[in-house]
Amino acid sequence: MKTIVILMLGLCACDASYGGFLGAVPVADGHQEAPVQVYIGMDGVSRAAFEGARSRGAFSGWNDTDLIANFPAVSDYSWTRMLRTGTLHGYDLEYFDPEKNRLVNEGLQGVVEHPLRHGVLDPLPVYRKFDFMGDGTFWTVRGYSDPEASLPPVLDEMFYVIANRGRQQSALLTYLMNVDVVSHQGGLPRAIAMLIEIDRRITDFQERHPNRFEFTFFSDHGNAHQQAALVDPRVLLRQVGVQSTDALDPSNAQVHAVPVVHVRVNFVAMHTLKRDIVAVGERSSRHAWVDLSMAYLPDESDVGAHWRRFAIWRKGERFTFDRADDGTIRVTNPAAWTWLKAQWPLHAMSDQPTLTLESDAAFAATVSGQYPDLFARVATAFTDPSISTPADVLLSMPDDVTSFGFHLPGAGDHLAVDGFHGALTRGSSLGVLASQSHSFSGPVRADDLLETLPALQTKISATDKP
Amino acid sequence: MSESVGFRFFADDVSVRASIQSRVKPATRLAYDLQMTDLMVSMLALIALSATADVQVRLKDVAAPSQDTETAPPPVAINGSVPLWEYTGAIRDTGSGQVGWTDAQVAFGPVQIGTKPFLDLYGSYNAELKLRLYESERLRAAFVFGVYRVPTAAESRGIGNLHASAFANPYAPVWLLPFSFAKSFSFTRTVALHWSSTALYMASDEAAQNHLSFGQTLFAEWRTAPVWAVRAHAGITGVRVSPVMHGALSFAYYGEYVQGNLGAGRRVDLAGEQSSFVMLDAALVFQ
Repeated sequence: MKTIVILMLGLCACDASYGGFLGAVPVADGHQEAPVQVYIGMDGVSRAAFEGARSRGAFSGWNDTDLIANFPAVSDYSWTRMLRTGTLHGYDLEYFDPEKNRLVNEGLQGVVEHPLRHGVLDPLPVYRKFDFMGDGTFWTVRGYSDPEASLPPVLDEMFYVIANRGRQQSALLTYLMNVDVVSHQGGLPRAIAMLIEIDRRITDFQERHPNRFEFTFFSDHGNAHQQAALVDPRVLLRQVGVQSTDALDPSNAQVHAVPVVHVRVNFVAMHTLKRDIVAVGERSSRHAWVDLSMAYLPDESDVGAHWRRFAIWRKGERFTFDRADDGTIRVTNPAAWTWLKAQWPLHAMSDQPTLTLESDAAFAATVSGQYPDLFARVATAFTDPSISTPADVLLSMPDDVTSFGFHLPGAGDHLAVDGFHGALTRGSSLGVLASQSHSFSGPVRADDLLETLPALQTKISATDKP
Repeated sequence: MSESVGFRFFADDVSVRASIQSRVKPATRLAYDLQMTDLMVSMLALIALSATADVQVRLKDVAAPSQDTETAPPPVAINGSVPLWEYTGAIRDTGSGQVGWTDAQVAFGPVQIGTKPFLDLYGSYNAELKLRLYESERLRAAFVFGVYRVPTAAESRGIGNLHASAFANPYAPVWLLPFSFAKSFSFTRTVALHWSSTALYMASDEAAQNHLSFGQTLFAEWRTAPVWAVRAHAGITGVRVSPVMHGALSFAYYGEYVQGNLGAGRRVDLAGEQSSFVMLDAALVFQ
């Protein structure tokens, strides 16, 4: 182990030499006339934090709108899906492998590996798309240990890269992790303060480079900004009569499921046998720690071609809807969905057995409610190709409940408990899309981000690296 | 799966939280205050390399070369630490050389040839020729000519995404041809100043990567002990294209068989944008 650590540190140190060499190469100005579009992927900036910063004068003159995160609203999955950079095994580093019938990257080891693999040695393809991620070998460690103290050097390096790469690139994509970390560790006030500081640094940078750069930023998910109870999903399952296991066993007559319990998020992905999907979904929804449970029902045979049926359970009650390949939603018994507080179109007859809505209409009906864009987000959590092994049942928890599967050594259980994300709820779901150069006609689905920002789409496809 | 006992912890248990944080925060703060950056990683790597190399080499009484004669030129650094721009006027004695991370080189009479192995490993193949022009007890001068072929998308060849580079060449390889006139002046046997005047020509199929730039660097070296030196670096580079000033501090060890240096610096462009960089080398020396 010592050897591995030394070798790894050595490799990282070697990489510093390489970075130093490239940094010594002068960069000529290739296009002095056009403004450079700078896109910052700001991890975990919630709508609430952005509004708080704006109320104190930050981001004055920026256009902004809600960016509705995909479900589950967690970073690796959200960035990968939003920027369309391939397929992940699961929603997080830990996932269930159905071929091997076991969990991979399980527990604390998986968490430890997370920053090493995703931030240091072998980042996910999506993170390779960013022109800037961090300011050196320990940028993730520093970012997590003290997000405020690490912000100035990170911004220094980010602006240095922007100023230089902007001499030859018409669009840049950079990443900032700190707001997400401070939201977990310090709550809403510190997130607001950090956004104000970021705005100040952007303003200063633009004053040093007048009319040269236009900024847009977007976040991958929101944050509930509520302290939460940390709960173990394995206990949850046991308490509702579902056996929590490490593997699926058709010979086991008992209803059982494999929960993926990884980092602290307020959703849970579960894998179970087809025969147990309905039972697991229905039973788990009765638990106080669960807000909604949901599943794709592949065995429902009366749905029709090009349609798939999904179920949502709330306190044991089942609600179903179908989604067509083109995104059209067909809601069964719409009058029963009173808890959704959907704004159904005026022409809709709520007493009809089904209500069919085109994708945009379904979005409009739910976007201002407690569960924005519920239908598309639930359905695509199971069907989007960005996940190779989607869950069989997903649990969305209330904002004040968070799943975790292990205790961190020392004080880990007592740190970073000031806000979570992942659930279908409004706080978790509402990210921000804000821009100095683009205007927006209304809230945007994360899946539609690239269509909304064509220059970013062009930049991402142009930087497919070897 | 072991089913741990579920528990419910509410974070507004202020006393517990404060107690925990009082233990944890100072540790994380300390780590940060110690600038747990690339410098620390580099230091660990340097120590590891030095320790390994020194297993068979006792550095007993490693006096500075030529200590036995006051007439020989005082020892000074052979290599600079800022890539492309910083050089010294000194070359190695005939038949001697080094194999290291930053430089591998050997000298024959007034000529020294070498390469930068770490760049070769990253696919930027390179060679360097150094020609002695003048050498006296106090002053040394040399021409240095380098050739580097930086492959397409060099910026994507780093480990992970740790060090975002200001330079990127996504569409074509780039040739870098630095030509430098390097001078070294020894004020005393322990204090020396190196200054190099460099022209850097860049050539590429990408039109924007074709240009000529200039740089001037200063590198002061103080041998605080026969084998240890503290060094200060400053300069302005990329003049005519994108001028950048730099300042840095490094420490060097000049053993008989193992040499190395370690340092960190800061670059600032004319607009005021700033970036940090690390200087690192470890080498085995043969005489």
